[in-house]
Amino acid sequence: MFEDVLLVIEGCLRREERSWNTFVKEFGSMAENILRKFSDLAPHDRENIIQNVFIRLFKGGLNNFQGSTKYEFFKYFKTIVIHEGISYLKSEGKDRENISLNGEDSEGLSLKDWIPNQDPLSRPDLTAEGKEVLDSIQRVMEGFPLLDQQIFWMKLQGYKDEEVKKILGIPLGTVASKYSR
Amino acid sequence: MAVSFESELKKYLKNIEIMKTPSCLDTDTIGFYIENKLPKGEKMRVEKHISSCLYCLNQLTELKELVYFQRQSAPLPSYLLQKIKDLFPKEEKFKKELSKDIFSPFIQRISDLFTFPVRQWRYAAVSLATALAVILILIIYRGFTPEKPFEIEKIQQPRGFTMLSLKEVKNPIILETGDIDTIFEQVRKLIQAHNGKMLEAIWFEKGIKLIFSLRREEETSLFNEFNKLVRIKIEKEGYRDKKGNIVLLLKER
Repeated sequence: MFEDVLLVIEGCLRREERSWNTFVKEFGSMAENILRKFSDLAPHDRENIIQNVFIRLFKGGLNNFQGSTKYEFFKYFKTIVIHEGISYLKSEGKDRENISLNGEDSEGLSLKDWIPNQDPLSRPDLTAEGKEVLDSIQRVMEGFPLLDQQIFWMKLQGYKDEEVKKILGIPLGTVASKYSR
Repeated sequence: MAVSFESELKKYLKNIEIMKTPSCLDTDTIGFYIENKLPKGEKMRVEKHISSCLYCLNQLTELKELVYFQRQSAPLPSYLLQKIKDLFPKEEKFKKELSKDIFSPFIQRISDLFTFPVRQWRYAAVSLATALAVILILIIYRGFTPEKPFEIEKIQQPRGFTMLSLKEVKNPIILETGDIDTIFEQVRKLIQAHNGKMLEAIWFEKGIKLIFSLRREEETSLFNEFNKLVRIKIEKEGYRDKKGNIVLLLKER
């Protein structure tokens, strides 16, 4: 993976075809990685979303990036991927929540979970409730080492042990043992 | 219906922004922390903050995942990759068409001159060089001035070619004169005036042999001109060689 992300982006803004090809190759791979973790997306859904992401970036999305480091661009890119994914789900009518009849939750991460609440300000009760829950989680976690907190936080979000292991770069046994504790 | 704690939590995670405080870390600091690019003291400060801030913990895991994705290759299918790469020229073409509408044809022509692609300049240069080479070869082949009058280098000494054997024609045209040099010059000008072309001139003792080409319709007129200059001896035929050129002998009287 290339390191000079910002140089490549500058090249794309100057309409250099070579920079665009490099950008597509590297960030196409990142978009695929981001979307692959969502269990509610089929391969053809991912392809359509990725295509929309790059159309959006080409038609001004890159120009609108205001940051100055690659970390900021990564987050900006992820925001666009998630936004395009949600737009796609809505356009395909796949944005409704599936209610499980036997009461079990579906495994893994779902892109539907990223669909924002319609208007948080119109439901202050939900916002207050959410703050209360998150505050209490924070208080509980404060007593644990940072690595344990990361494992716990990722598992809470729905990451599988294997994914946590790869992202944090720790053995699988550590993930399982620390979370069960 | 049983709903797990995780699924209930996902609802609130959408609003993680509400946990953000003014003392929260920026994205760059967290990124540098992940890639071990912070000084030791700063690193400890960052760790301490993240350990007590759910918003920054979320930022940390999110950015760690993206940095991991940056290193982890997941190539796209080649047809999809090509499709996305192809966005580029289509858009450029669109831009060019748009600019044509905006600029007047004259300004557009000037603009095109400056945006003329380098590779097209190369083709133009190669074509020009080829054309110049062809012209140069033609000039060398035909001489620098193809229409230049016939030039003769007269050899004064020794006067060779004492023997003249006219095998070319049976009955050459014969012009007899007392001033062979002057008449030769006048004959030459007359031939050129009748669109004839001097091909050869050979000096021999007391004479010059001339070979020139001439269209048949010019013959009568030219011969009448010769007749005005000097006494001419001409047969009805037999003065043209195998190639159709006329052979003329200019003799001293």
